[in-house]
Amino acid sequence: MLKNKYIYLLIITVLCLGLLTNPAAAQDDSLNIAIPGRAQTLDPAYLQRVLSDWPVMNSIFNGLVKYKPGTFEVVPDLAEEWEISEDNTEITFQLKKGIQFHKGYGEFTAEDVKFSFERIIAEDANSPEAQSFINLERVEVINQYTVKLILTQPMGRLFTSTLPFNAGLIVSKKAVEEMGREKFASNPIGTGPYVFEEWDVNNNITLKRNDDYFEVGAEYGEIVFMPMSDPTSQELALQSGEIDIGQLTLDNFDQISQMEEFEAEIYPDLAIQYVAFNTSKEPLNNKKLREALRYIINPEEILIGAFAGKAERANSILLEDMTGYWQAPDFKLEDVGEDYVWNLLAEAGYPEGEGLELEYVTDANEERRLIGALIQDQLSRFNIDLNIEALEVGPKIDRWQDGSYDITYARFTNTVDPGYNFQWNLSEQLGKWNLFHWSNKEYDNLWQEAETTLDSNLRAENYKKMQQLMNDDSIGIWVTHGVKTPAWITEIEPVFSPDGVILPWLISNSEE
Amino acid sequence: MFIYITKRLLWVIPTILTVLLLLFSLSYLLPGDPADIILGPRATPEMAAELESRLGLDNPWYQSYLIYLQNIIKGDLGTSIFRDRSVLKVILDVLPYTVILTLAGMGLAVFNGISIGLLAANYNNSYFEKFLTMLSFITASTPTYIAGVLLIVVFSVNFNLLPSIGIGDGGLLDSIHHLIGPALALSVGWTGYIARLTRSSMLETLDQEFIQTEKSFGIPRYYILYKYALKKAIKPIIAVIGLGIGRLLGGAVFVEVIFNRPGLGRLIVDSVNERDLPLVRGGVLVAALLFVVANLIADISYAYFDPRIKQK
Repeated sequence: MLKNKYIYLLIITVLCLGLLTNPAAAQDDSLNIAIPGRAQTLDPAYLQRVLSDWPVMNSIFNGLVKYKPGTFEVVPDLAEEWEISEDNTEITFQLKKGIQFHKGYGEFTAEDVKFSFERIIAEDANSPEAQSFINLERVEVINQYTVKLILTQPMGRLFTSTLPFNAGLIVSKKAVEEMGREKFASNPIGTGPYVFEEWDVNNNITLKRNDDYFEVGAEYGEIVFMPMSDPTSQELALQSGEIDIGQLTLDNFDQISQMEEFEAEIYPDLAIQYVAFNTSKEPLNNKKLREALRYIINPEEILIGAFAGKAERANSILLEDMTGYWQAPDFKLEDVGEDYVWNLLAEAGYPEGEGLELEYVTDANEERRLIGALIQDQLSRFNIDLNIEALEVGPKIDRWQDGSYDITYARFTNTVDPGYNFQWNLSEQLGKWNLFHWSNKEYDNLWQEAETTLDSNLRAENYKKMQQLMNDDSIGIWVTHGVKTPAWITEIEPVFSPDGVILPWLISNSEE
Repeated sequence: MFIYITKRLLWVIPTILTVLLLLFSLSYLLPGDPADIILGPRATPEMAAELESRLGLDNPWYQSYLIYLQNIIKGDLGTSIFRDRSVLKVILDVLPYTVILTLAGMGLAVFNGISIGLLAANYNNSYFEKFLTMLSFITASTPTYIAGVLLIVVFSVNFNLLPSIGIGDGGLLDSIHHLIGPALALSVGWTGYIARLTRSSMLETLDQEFIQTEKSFGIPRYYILYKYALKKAIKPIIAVIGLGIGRLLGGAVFVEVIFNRPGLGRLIVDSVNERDLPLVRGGVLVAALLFVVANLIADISYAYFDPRIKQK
């Protein structure tokens, strides 16, 4: 009996001792940043999940060019300057000199640029970025600090999204060759403001400041990226002081952002969420009917109902400050009056909306079901029945691809380059990811022309025309870009990209 | 006893084979094209082809199943799609954390449950007993994920006593400190159950004649309660612990996600989200094995404490 008592006593003492140590013992020089899931790879050529992989890669690597912090404007990074040939197919970069790779992997030279890009387009690379470099034929090393990209034809997206994003990040040739691709993916060597330190069993990724960084170094000595897939856990960890930057849920955004210890902001996501009409199938192959639906479906109600009124309405696939933005006219029911819509329905062959029954395919999660229910309600005011089918991803994609639906709701991730974002509506995507099942030769030609020019005015012009074509045919309704809702402790002052992605090396201490 | 254990062990084989067949059929039963689901719009046809061959979809299903079985016998659970590492290695990395968490949860449940149960039996028919009964009903019916969030809100956010995420930096004390919250959350449901069981088992034992005899000998109440009665009453409790471990493994999924701990549960959740089929298969297989082993231990301990079971 006595012996047992001592064991209990011992256990209790140990537990109490444990309690005495201060949790959240984050050092002042270290920042904990939550990412929404496990980073899947740190090899820029194989980026999988933008939200988790990109902020880490972006801290470790540099590209030849980068987005100027807080904007999508492209400025030099590892390149000093560049020259573009008459026919836009040869681009010669002068590189900055004396920049060192992390951990003693030597100086950054033209060879690393050649290696980084050519490994992506290599036959056996199987890199999802191959299409980011679609027209790249080869890279020529002129001398140690001069490198030339040789293209088969001009490439519109080269400077807008390929070079400043992950495909354009420069890896150490020596490191990849020494380690092999698999090991490199979890031991990245770049030139960036932070050096990779550790990827632990909990999938936390620790980076240490690069004290030899070629630009102004980071203020914080250590950054830890912590994957937290549960949004509520992120909010709680932020409040208990265990993370310094995280995302809020829309439900708790107001409450937490008003607290003294925290600051928060709403950014638009770089994605597009939309209602798509299946234009190739009865009854929505009828343009009059689609127009009527554009009046009946009210995205503002969706924003309030499903996004707590926090998300902005989207009027284009693109964000407002991107090349080629064109604001699609808003079809507002209160502007034309209900009679106008009843007439449209009658003209379309459905007077009083009678006998109209539409199939609606959506994801089986709460938010999407809610959006479906809101649309169902809106349509019911015009006697139109909507059958909602909430499906798992697999069956949903099957239905998308064989076109067995009338209306669907989708979210597509975008890049800064419009060409990428507009490609899903091309004729060649029919049966794949063209959810409107819409084919327009003029649209295809305009897209192709914009893809193969570096003239941003021409590109902008074409993308505007393409959006007008989509609008004229009333193939769907842009709803929102979605939101990112970063929150952080008031002791720090973070910098974000226009779509709300943290730039960790620019975080400063707001108390100094 | 030996024959009994052998029989039980033999039963494990068909169980595992059924689990394997179910897991194997995942890639055929899941609707949709795996390449589209797993890789999304950015996938090239070459990437899709490589994925299909990795999932064994390029062979007829019976061939793939045989290859799958052969590999498993060799201890090869395949390679994760997104981690470029063998499934076995990924699982072995996180498994210890789940085992420790489950054992700690069980330990707390047993300690707290038996304490509450003993007190309740001791103070039978008092208001204190009613309070303890209520307490055990409340804990028995609190789902693990609610308990986890409540613990974080109270002890991490409000009082700042316990860490809410992670496993600490590797030191023993820090690891224990990080284990308290998750283990408590995990133990809550089973605590109430064990408390109820202890109380009724104790009351039943205290009613028996040998206790009356001891009382009449003038042995102190304290001694009777803890030395003689408890020794007998505790047997059914020990027997349910094996069963409980299987249940707690299930609860560990929630706890690992809420407290952001590495572990088998979180690994399976992550790999389902990433649709990393080989990893889902491997993870579920290991979880099933653990469950089977826990049940086996439960059965054997039943038989050990109650020899009548062996005869059946």
